[in-house]
Amino acid sequence: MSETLQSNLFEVILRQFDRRSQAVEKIMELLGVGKDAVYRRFRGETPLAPEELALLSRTFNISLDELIFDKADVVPFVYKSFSEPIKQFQDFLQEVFRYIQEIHVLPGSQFYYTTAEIPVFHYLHFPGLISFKLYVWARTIWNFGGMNERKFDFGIVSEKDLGLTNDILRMYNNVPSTELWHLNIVDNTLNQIEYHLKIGGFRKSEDALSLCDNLLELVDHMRLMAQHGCKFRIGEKPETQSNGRFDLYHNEMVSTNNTFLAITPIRRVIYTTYNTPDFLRCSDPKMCDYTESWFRKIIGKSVSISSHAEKSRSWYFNNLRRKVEHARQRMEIAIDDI
Amino acid sequence: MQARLQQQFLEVILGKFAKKSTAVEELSQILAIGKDAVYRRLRGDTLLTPDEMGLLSKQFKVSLDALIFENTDTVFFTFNRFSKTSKNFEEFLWNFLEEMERASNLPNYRFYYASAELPLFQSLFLPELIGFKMYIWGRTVLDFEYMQNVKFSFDLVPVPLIQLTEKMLDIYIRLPSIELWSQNIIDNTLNQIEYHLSSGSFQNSQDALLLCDKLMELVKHMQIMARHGRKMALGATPTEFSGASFDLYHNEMVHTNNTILATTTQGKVLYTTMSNPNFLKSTDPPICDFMEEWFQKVIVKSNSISLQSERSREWFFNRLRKKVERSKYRMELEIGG
Repeated sequence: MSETLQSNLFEVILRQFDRRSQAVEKIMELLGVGKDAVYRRFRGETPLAPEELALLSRTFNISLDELIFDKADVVPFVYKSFSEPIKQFQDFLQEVFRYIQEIHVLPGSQFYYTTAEIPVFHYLHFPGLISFKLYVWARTIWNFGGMNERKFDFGIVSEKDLGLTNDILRMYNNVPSTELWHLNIVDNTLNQIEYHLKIGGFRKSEDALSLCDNLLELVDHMRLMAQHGCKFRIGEKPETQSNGRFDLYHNEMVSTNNTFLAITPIRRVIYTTYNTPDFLRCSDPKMCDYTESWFRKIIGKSVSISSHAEKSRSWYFNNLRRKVEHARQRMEIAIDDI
Repeated sequence: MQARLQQQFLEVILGKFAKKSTAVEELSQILAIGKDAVYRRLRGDTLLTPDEMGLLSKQFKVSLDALIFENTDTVFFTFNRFSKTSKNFEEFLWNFLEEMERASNLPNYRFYYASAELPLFQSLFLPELIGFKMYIWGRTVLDFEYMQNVKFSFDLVPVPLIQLTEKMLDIYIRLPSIELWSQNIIDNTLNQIEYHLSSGSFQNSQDALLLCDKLMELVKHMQIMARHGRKMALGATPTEFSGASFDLYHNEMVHTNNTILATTTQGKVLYTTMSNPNFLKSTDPPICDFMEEWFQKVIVKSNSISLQSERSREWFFNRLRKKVERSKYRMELEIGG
């Protein structure tokens, strides 16, 4: 066991160097010991002291938890909301920015995404839609002071706060993705708009209808991206080289959490929503293996709706459109009654 | 620094015991060393080896990363698929039943349940429905080899398995719960029936329609339980002696994973589905407390539909009925076609 943790740690460190001798030099320097002492530690003859263990783990950014729990049924997840609760709109966007950048920066990265809601990235096409989502989460999940008394209007999130949305969307569009969507992906947002209209949560009731119009435009754009099999901005040409592949599936059968699996050349990370939109993060190798194979299984049971599958795609997006149109009609009647 | 990591690590472990002497005994047993040797490690006179740190970290579920990176955000979950793999439904259900039995024996047990789909426990009311659910899980997420090329029929699930589900249902009826359901809870099940009908996976297509009839029966029963605020067996006459309390809310706004938070006088346990019906489980107090607060917040934004609120309740369950009727109609057309 001592050899296992210690030797596993060294194995991961050695992988970060082209030559073993470079690793030895670096470790000599870090631990302040001679070459022989490093080799004794490599061979497990001298156990690493807790201090050394911590120093190596921190310097080479290696999770000891992953090495320790690799073969157990225990899986470590990180939940940022404990230490860094979202206190303002920008906090959330910064977190999303940081995570998508980690993936985007590594060439050859891709991700799988299964969701029962419109993926948050797509709301970024419309400042009004992302503002509304942020407003709803601020009132329900993050409990921003004063937000419960405040009505929604399109200026509720400042332009400065929305500053990162362009970069997030660009990075999301660049990374190839395989996405599995339910037919219910628009329901939650429509429910939220109707709920707020009912409780008088809009400063101008007509804004509820504008949000529905944004949603209709978004549905049309998502259909266009699916048709071209790549991601791009509204109004942009799909053929741009930097645009990532977009493989879209309609998952009509398997109920799932909103789960995102990023696969980069150096590591895999799972993000699964917990108290939407907050999420748990996990890079435990066996959990990643399990999730990757789970994705493959669900893909096997899902219907491809990107590129060639015109009939299924039209059926799917017409359904989404109809849902928005029906909800919009109900809201028009509700506004007339107000 | 070296003393600090060891000291912090051992402090976290000591914090899990009411008495230091109990901790010393336990440490002495786990590390297979004498008490003096344990005390030397507690004082920092002897350094823990990586071997020992790994062993203790795993045993007491203490994150070394949390201490090294000064990151307090790590939550440990156990994943049932890694704890006990099931090769067939019997094993899967036994594991589930064991979990329920253990929980139900804890004092003052009650649970919160947030769900975006038909809660598993509700499916238990109807053998036909839980049988169909098992068939789907067996073919997809649980990936049982022997299920892959079998068509669905009601006799696919043998009687002893149904008896196991009845035991699970008995426990569910005895445990008080506060449940938050979204309007879409029935959609996934209806999609699954339609999917299997279109893909020719029913041995007898009429069984798809029968499942819809069973769902209607279930909707009626759920409505009766909500009206009385009590759980009871299907067809039972509601009385004050019926099962445990059943507080139902319509959560129309907050999207949730399927999450259960159980609270007892001995502590809290959190379950959340991960590749449903598999689940992650945690007893870490910070995440359990956090989730309890979350439930309170969502309840405030939700609509109570048990006991008094007749109008909202009728509206909610009528919506469910309409969904089943529409699906059944589509299926009839498909079978007719």
